[in-house]
Amino acid sequence: MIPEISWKNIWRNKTRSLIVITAVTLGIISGVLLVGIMQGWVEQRIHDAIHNEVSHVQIHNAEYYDNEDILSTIDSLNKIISVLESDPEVKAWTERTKLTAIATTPWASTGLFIYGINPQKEKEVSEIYTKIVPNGGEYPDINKTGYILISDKTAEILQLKQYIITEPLIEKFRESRLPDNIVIKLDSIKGIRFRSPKEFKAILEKKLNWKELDMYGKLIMDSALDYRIRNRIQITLSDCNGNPVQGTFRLCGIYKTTNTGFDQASAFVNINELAELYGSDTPLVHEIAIMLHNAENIDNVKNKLSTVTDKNIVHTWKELAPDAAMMNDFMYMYYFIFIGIIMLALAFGIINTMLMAILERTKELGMLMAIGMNRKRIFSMIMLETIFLTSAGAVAGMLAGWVLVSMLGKTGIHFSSWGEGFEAIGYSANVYPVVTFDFFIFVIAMVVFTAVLSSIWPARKALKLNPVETLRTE
Amino acid sequence: MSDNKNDIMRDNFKIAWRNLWRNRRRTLITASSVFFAVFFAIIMRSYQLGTYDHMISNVIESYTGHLQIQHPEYQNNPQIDNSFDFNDSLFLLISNVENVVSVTPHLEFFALASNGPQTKGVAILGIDPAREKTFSNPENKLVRYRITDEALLEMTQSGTFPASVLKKLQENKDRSYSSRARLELELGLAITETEKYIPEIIRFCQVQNGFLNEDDNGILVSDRLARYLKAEIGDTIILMGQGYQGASAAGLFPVRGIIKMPAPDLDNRLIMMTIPAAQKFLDAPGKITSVSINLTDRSTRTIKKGLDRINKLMEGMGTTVKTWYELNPVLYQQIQGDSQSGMVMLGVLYFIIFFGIFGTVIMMVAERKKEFGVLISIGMQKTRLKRIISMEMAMLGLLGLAGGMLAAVPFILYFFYNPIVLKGDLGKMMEDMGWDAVMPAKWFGPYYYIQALIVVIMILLATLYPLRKINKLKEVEALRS
Repeated sequence: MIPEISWKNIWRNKTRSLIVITAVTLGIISGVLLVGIMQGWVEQRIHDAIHNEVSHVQIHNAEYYDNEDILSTIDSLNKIISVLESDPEVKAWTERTKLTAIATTPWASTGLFIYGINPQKEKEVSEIYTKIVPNGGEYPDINKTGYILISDKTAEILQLKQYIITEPLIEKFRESRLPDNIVIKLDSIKGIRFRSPKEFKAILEKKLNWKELDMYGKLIMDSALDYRIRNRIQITLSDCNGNPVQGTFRLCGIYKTTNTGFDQASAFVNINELAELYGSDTPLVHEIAIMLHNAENIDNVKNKLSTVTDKNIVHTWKELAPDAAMMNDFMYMYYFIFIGIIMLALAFGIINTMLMAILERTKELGMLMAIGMNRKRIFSMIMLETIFLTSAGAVAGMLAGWVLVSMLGKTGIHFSSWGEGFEAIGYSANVYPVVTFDFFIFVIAMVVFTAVLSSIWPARKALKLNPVETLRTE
Repeated sequence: MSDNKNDIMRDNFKIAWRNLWRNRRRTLITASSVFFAVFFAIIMRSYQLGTYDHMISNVIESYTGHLQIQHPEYQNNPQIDNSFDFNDSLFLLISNVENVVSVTPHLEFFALASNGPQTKGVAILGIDPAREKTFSNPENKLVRYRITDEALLEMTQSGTFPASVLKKLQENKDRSYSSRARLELELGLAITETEKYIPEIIRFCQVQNGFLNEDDNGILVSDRLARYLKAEIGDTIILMGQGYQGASAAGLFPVRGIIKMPAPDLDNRLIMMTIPAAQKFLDAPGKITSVSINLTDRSTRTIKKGLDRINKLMEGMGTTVKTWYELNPVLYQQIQGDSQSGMVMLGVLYFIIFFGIFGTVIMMVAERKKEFGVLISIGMQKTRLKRIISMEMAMLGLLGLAGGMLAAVPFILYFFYNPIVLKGDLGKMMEDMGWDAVMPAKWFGPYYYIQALIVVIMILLATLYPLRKINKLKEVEALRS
C-alpha cells in the first residue's frame, strides 16, 4: 500500500522526477564506466603479471635474490620436484636458468636477463609464446638449436627493428585503399632501410601531411616494419668460474607483452644450449615457476614448498609483482571513492527535489495525518519515495552501464597517446573494461544508503508539520 | 538619467537578492552543491598537480635536466662515439644564458665490471663532483647505515633492545640506508619505539664511507652492485669496455664509496667516476655525452626560450638540445594519463552538479510561473524580469563558488608547507620507483581559477532555461496556472 503510493507520488511531477532520475542514471553510467575501465586495467595487469611475468609461485635460492650469482642454484632440486609432481594443486611448473648477460649486435648492445628455458614446459606456465608479434618469427623449439627469443623493445634497442618500403609493399598499398598520391610519396623512399621507428617516423612526417599521417601513419608503420629475424646476436655472460664467455644465437622470434620493463629485461634460449655456453653438463636451475589450478590455495602451496629446505625462498605473485597486488587490494577503495563522490554529488539534487516535493504537499500531508495516517507511515512513504526515485535512475544507469561496458569489453578502448607511458609500468594501452557482480551489489547498497540518508531531512520536515495548521493554509 | 539607471540596477539587485532567500533551503542546498564541487575539484587538482610537480622536480631536475645537450644520434644510439666536445669556456657560455640555473656535464657509457670471479655489465656515469652537487647530489646517497651481521650480533648482545625491535632489525638484515628518515621508514617501528631506539640503532649500524675528489681516479659503486661484486671500500674493480672509436678500454679503479640509489634498477648496476677519469679510460679526451641544464622554472615558455637560446649558442657544434619530455616521454605520458583521468572524474562530478542546478531552476520556474505572469501583466518588461532572474542565478553560483574557493585556501596553504608523507607499503613502492613518497599541494595557479570559469559556464547554461521560458511566456496562460 505505502510503496504503491510512494511510486505514484514520484510521477505526479514528471519533469522534476525525470531530471533527478536522469542525473542518477548518468552518474551511475559514468561510475560504472570509470570503475569498469579501472577494473579492466587492474585485471589485465594481474593476468599479465601472473601469466607473462611471475607465475603464481616462484622458487629461488635465498642467496640468488641478493647477488644473482650463477652458482646460487635451487637447493634440494629433486626433493622440490617430487613435491611439485605429487601436489594436486600444481597445474604446471618449469625450471629456468636465469643469468645476467649483455646482448650485442653490430649496431648496439644492451644488458638483460637471459633465461634458459624448456620450451615445452614453459608453454604450460607462461603465455609468452602467444605474444609473438605479427611477422615476428616463432617461439624457440627444443629441436632447433642456436635460437634466441627477444622482445620488440629489445629488438628496437639492438636495432633489429627496421623499416623498409619494398616493391611488393608498394604493390600491396596500390591494391589497398591507400590514395595514389601517398603511394607515390612512399615510392620515393623505396628501398631505404630505416634503423629505428624514430627515423622512419621522421621521414614520414616530412613526406606526408598530418591528416594523411593520422589516417594511414599507423598502417604504413606496421606494414613497413621488418624484424631482422635470423640475425646474429652475441651474448656475453660469466661462466661458472666467473670468466666472461661469448656465444652467438640467431634471432628466432620477437614477442611483446604489455610491460616494456619486463620485455626489455628478458630474452629466452633453450636451457641446454645455455648450459653449454657457461660450461656445465647439466643445466643450472635458478628459478622454478609454478602455476596452480586455483590461485586461492597459493599460501598452502607456498608453505609446503618452504618446508622442504630453508636455503630456498618461495615467493607468491603478490610478493613478486607488489604493484599489481596492491592495485588488487586498492580496487575496493577505488569503488568507494568513485561511487562515493558521485553519490554525494547526487545527494544534493535528491534532497532538493524531495524537500520541494514535501513543501508543495504540506496541505495534503496534513490531511493524511488528520485522517489518521500515523507518523511511521508518513516517514516510510517519503523514504520509499526517495529510494524509488534514486533506484529508478540507478537501475537504468546500471543496465546502460553494463551494456556499455560489455560492448567496450569486446572492442576495447585504446589510449594510444599514453600507451608508451602505461606500458612502461605494465598497463596495456588497450583496456577491456569489466565490471563484476560484486560491484553492482556495492552500487545498489550505496544507492539505497544515499537515498535513505537524503530522505531523512525531507521526512523529518514532513513529520514536524502540524496537521491543524497545514489544513488552515490556502 | 544615469542616476535613474543606477536606481533600477539597485532595485533589480535587491529584488534578486530577496528572491534568492524566499526559499532559503533550496538556495542553500544548490549553493552547497556548487561549493562541494568547487572545493573537491580544487583540493583534488591541487594534490594531483602538486604531486606531479614534485615527481618531475625529483626525477627531471636531478636526473635528466629541463634541457639536455646531446649528440643528435645519442638518444637513438647511446654509444660513446656519439659524444661531443665540452670545455670550461662552453660551460661559462651556457651558464650565462638567461634563466639557466645549473649546467651539469655527464659522460655515460656501459662496461663490464669485475672483482675476482664476479663480473657484471654496469652503467657508468662520469660526473663533475662539484657541479653534480647542485644537480643529483650523489653525496646525499652515500650509504650511512647498514644492518650487518656483526651489528645485529652486537645489538642482540647489548641487551638494550626488546625482542620486537630485534625481530624488525633481523627482517631488514643487510639493508643499507642513506638517511635516518629512510631507516625509520623501512624499519616501521612504533612511534615510541622509533624515538627511543633509533639513535641507538644508528650508533650500531653506522658505516664509514667516502666520496670522489675533483680529480679522483676512484669510483662510487651502487649498493646492490657492490654486494654482487663483493666489493668494499678500498677494493679495486676491473672495468672493461669499448672506448672511443672502437678502441678497447680497460682499467683498475679503487672503490671510494658505496651509494644507495633509490631505484632498484639503478642500484643493481651503477658506477660513478669523475669525468676526467672516464675520458682517460675511454681514450676520449674532452668528450662528454650530455649536458643537463636546469632552468628557473618548468613552464612551456621558459623551456621554449631556453631551448632557442641554447640552440643558437651551440650552432655548428654538431649537437642538439632536447627537452625533458622528449627525453623521458614515459614519465610525461604517465603524468598526462593520470592527470587526464582525474579530469574525467571532475568532469563527471561537475556534470552531476550541473544537473542538480538545472533541476532546481526548472522547479523554480514551474513554481513561479504565475508570479511571472502577474509581474508581466502589471507592466514589468520581460527584459527586466530576465535581468533579475539572471542576477539571481549569478548570485547563487557565486555563493557556492566563492565559498568553495575560500574554503580550499587553508588546505592548500597547510599542505603546501606541510606535505603529506606517504608511509608503509605505498611509500616504499613509490621510493622503489625512484620517487619521493611525498604529496605536496600545489600553490594557487590556473587550476584554481579555472574552477570559476567552469561554474560560470554551468550557471550561464542553466540560466538559458528560465530566460527562454520568460520569452515564451503568455500572460493569460501563466495567470491561469
